[in-house]
Amino acid sequence: MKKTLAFALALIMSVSLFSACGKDTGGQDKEMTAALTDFSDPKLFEQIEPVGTKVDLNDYYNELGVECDMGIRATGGSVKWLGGGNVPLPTPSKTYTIAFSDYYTVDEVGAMYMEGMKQAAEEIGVNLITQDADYDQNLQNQAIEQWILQGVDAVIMTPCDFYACKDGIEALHEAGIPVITLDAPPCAGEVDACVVYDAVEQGRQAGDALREYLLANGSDMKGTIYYGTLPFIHPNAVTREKGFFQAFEDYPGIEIKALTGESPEDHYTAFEGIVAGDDSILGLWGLYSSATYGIMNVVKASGKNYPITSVDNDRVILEGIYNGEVLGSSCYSAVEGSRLALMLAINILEGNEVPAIIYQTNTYIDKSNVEEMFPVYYGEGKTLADYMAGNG
Amino acid sequence: MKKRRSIGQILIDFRTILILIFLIAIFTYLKPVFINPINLLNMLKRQSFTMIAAFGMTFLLTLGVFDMSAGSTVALVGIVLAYGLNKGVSAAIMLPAVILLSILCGFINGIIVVKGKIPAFLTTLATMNIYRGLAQTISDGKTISIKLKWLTNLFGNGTVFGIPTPVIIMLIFLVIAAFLFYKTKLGFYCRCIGGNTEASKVAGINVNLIQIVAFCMMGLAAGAAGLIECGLMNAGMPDLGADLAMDAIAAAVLGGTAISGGLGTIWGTIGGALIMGILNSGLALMGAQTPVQLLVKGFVIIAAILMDNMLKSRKTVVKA
Repeated sequence: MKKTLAFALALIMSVSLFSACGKDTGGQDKEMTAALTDFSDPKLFEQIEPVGTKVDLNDYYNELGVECDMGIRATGGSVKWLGGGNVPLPTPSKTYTIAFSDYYTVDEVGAMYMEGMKQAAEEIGVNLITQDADYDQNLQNQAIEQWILQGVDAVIMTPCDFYACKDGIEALHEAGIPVITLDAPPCAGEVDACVVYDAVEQGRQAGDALREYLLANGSDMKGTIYYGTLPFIHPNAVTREKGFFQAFEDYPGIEIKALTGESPEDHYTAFEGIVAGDDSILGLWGLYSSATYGIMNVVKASGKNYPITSVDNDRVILEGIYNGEVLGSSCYSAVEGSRLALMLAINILEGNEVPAIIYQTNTYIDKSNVEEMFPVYYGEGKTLADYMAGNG
Repeated sequence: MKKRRSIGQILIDFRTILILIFLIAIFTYLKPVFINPINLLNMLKRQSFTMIAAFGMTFLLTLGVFDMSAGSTVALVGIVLAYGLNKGVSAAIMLPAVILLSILCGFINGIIVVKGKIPAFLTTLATMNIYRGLAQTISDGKTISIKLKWLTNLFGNGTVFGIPTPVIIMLIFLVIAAFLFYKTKLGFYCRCIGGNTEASKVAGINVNLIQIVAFCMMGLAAGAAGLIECGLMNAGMPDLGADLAMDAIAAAVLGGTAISGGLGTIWGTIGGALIMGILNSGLALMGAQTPVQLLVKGFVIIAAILMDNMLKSRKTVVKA
């Protein structure tokens, strides 16, 4: 009996070890003709800062009280992506090995970054090595050290910690490996290029929508708007807050108050008493998806009908928009972000001049466009109806 | 005449080393870059703070208690250090201050357990929240960067003859922990108390004092781990060390320290921590994602503990 148990345990260990092993993505060089991206194409990009300008995000963050001392090596200014969900990828001249470290994949945005990156790499024949860093900067830095040893051609990363990612970035720089960041940029270290979204605009879109709703429904614009945010200072939070507050600048009778938490449960707890007992509420805002989940469920449980706006395009939020539980949300496509980051990586490796920053598109999603936009965020052929029917 | 050990007995006695050799061999076969000395040193560097915490945890586990607040102590030490340095306080003052702070954290745990007669699990669960809450309050939830390059090199990113400084610090702690555990009354008393507390009291061992000292040592180990993590991150971070306590317990138990007390081994602990480090490094090289790594680590820990229990019961049967 004991021998059988010992054998079973050994078998479990071996199977789990081998099942954990991904396929070896050893590179095979095959010569092709490179077809690179034209970053001056006005149909695809709007030039914001001109080519040749030294671009960084230090002033942008420092003005908001976020200490930022980062640099970007690319010299192509900054551009805004105009092309929507379908980002055309360049054709590399050979098979590159590119590593991608995603901050966290147990999160819809993080999961879609990963899925989008895998699809994009497959499309253009890139050997992709991936890592889910599980929000652990130590793990992310460990992966970078290993990738340097493995001799990858480039690294794309969504930083776990905006300061502590510096060592990994510097190590890549010293090894001569280009590094491109995606999502919120690092606030330390020098990268080759960044794909970011304008988080101030996201907050403003959510604020504008709530303000217009209140005005259209005859509100006297006196009362309280509560919003759910993180309990610590995060570059995305302060920027979104700035935009949201801007939307209500002309309404001194409105007080905007923050409630903090991390998980949907935290936000549920934070909002439960307020929603039940504060009659001055005009509206509610989820600064990020977990906050919106919590708020949506509290309002649903209370039987009240407060207008809610959001940032992020998690499927639950899109379903909530469709069902009328959420007015709308400022959304950006993680798949688009992944493709833009890979686009930058290939162009850098091929020696093409690239923009230092590509700003992603933020789109305000409400009931009128939620079905149409669903495939932009979750891929061609995916529909909200399928998701709501349990097939998505 | 010295009795010869059977092959089975040798396998049992050297199981941790055999598992290590098996893992190194398999990862080297699958990914030759695994055996690259730089990769191995990087792995040791990234595992060094868990190892140091695990040495402290070995003393506690041997006593039959453990410390859930170790990771929060790491965060508190890091934040206080970074905050003080950013306010212009000299490193010569801040370093001893945070080391004392870490010992104080351990002392508070020990005093509450001993004088309040509250189980260590509950006490340290509470202080885990208190220390983490303090770190978040002081930092306002922010990461605080440390600008002193020499300091971050000293504890995290520097090397001496090519060996990362965290590895050197870990080796110093290993020597001290092994000496205390095997060569002093402290280690002996820990084993006695963990094996039979009442008998130890009757034998005149000051159980309370030994428990408090062990908690203080755990605090010191967590403090050192905190300095290393801050060095590696170039910053104090309020969420640092979230998994440290569980990783340290897992390393010690994986190495053969009994969670029920009375039986501990520093050498086994380093073996357990190495198994975890090798699994982390090897699986990452294989492209295994975090959920898979967590699954594998979980299975390995359960398998190792079950095997350990089976082997112990076999030993008991043989002795009987």
